[in-house]
Amino acid sequence: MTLALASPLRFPARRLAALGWATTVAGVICALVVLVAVFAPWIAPHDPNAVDPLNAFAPFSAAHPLGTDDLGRDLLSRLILGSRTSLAGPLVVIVVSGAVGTALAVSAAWIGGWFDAAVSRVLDILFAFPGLVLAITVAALFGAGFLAPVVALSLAYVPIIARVMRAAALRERSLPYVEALRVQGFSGWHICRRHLLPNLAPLLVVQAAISFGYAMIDLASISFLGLGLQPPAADWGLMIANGQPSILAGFPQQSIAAAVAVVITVVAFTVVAERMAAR
Amino acid sequence: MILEVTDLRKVFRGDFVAVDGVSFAVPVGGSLAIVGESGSGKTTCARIVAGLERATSGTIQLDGLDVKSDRRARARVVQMVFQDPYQSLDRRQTVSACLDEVLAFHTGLGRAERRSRIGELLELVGLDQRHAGVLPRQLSGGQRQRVAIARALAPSPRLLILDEAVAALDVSIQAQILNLLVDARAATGVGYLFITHDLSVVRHVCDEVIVMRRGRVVESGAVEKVLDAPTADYTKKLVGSIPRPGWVPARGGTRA
Amino acid sequence: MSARPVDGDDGAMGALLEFDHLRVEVPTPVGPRPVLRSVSLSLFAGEAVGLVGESGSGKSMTARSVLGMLPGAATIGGAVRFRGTDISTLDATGLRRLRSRDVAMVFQDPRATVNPVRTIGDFLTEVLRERGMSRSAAVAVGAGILADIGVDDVPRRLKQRPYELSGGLLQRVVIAAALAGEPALILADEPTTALDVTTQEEVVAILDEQRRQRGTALLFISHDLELATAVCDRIAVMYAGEIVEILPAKSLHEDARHPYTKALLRARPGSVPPGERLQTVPGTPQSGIEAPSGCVFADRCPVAEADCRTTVPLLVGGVACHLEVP
Repeated sequence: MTLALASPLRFPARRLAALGWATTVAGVICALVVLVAVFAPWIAPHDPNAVDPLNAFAPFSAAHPLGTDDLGRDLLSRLILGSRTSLAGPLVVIVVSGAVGTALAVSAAWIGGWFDAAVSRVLDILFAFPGLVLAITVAALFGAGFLAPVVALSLAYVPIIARVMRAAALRERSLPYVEALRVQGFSGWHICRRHLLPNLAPLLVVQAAISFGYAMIDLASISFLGLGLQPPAADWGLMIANGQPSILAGFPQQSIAAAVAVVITVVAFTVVAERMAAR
Repeated sequence: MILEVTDLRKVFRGDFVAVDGVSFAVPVGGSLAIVGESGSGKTTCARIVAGLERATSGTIQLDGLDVKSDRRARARVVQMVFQDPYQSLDRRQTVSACLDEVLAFHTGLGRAERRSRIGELLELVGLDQRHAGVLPRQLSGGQRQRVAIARALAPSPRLLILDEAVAALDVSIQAQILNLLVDARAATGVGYLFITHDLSVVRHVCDEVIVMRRGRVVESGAVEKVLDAPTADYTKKLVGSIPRPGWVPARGGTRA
Repeated sequence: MSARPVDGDDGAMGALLEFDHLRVEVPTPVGPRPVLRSVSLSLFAGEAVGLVGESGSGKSMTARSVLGMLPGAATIGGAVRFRGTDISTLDATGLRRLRSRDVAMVFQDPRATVNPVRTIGDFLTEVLRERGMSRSAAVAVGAGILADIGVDDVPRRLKQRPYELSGGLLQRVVIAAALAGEPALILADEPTTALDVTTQEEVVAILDEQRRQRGTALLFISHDLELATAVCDRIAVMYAGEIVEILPAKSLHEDARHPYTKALLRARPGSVPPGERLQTVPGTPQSGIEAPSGCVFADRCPVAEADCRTTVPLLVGGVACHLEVP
């Protein structure tokens, strides 16, 4: 007599395959977006900044697959070029906040005591500031553009990364292998650099990938508010904002195309990140 | 004496006295067991000797030197094997990388010499070249503990602290490791400071034993004397509570 | 007190608990593999049986199968019968009834078993209150058992919370709670492994005394042969998902015949005079998944023959070994 217990886990292979399908699609989208950004000038069919007032608000056509905007610029080309700043911004944010956050977290967890307490308090204070508000304030003070919001947002993302990394570093530090290395006489610097950091790296990658999506939305919002890149730059957030008047004129393509690009990219990166985190 | 501990005292957070006036010594190539239950302070003693904790007062002489010297010099005299074979190795590091890191740090050996030394160390602990390239997760608990012992022996220490080093292992593996410890001591002349709650494993590895309870030494002496004819009430209770043929557990552990 | 089978263990009539060729397979990347191969064992009312083995032997899974607590992905063959009823035929209500009335379980770590924010009194009376007993009556029963097992200052203990008690005391409370439901069977899975040896002695003494007084059957899971021998009537030695030998606890040392049982007995540090080498088994303990397809112990057995690798030995006369069959 044989019986099988009913359970959703009965066919784990099939479940895995199902999960893998969504992740694969998301991964392909991420790769495509990155490739498009890297090769943007070669892929774009038109000069993204070529104004052609006679051809404004052109409908979909073979020459202009997504139509043109209020100045007659090719929307597809602007979307393709816009992927560069739209990806570069969040990338800088996660690289800077990841590096600073991890350095703070690991040194706080390793040194402990008053240093850990001080770092934790500073991070708590920083955490209390909504990142977007901080970035807007900085942009207002130092002028709009690419750099100011990105630097401000990098700062705002430090506590998000650092909190997770500090907890992980504390857990890692308490493992017996770290004590074994200390008994071997290795310096704290050696242990952190050669053992702690490499073991924390997978977690950092996951955190960074999750933060990437958030940073992209935040930067798009800043551009939308007019505090990021300035026209005529092609940037997805800016394109959503600039498309607004056209919506009233009955031509929503620009805002929709840019918004769809933001949403698809964010979702794809987040799906991949969540999948990595689940491992 | 390779290790001489005198009047050791450790107070945690101002009021909890974990170790209270404990003295013991390990002769060169000798083997001393510190036996006790949880809260006895035996592990704290080991951690202080290994340099993982600082004593509140008392002196520790390793190889005749005061141990406030640098950690690297200390590590060449005293090494330690931990209880948990699953977490005492870096999960990302292969067996040979783990041993190589230690050898490069403590010896002046070149790459090729280190490789042959790794082979010797693996052989000493009953592993072979097949195990050199694998990660800890590909090894069983007993094999990991062998790697941990090889790593501890790599700097050729004069004293090895074994902190409950066989407690987490299955019975048949525990026997293998106990035999290995006897062999390694004979082969290298390393001394042992064996921390355990299990009196029955002490006979096989140790010459001398001290029994600790609540931070103090309640009895000490040669292993056969203490285990076969204990004098302190607590030692009697401890010896009596080891399951063995014909043993009948009693409430209150009253039998002597 | 108990009808004890003379030898073998098949088809015993009137057993309280019967494992009948229990086989549990779990999915692996190379297809389903057995964790339990073919476990047959009967436990009679009031009897104590020790299930002894190393990691991966399947002893815990055997105990869990009694309560229907096997991994969801597992495929189960054979049957586990409690009072003659196949537990796989029980519905949710029947299973709950089995778990709350007939069988109690004591786990290794009392701190993981007891809800940390509720009082000892709440924990102790939970099962009784569930059955509709009044609070005061349930507290009286619980307090009575605590006093029976030598816990002092019972009224204060009932108001305390788990973190205020030592591990040994908490495990005694867990045993008291198990006894309070007056089950016919207690499953104790390494109940003293997390405790100090002197506390272990106390706890197993209490478990032994109480279950004898109440006529409760006990399935005692342990890695420690000597400990199991001290509190059990019979010992079943498990290796790689198979019971390799069943024998009376009293004559374990004299009558052990299976090479694995003998090896376990010899591996204990107390088994040889000081200074002599311990006799060891080469290799590491295997699980049912890794073990060879013939005799599960063939890979590590010092006396294995060619036949051992190909043919599964049957558990006959209390031992599953080709070399022991006349």
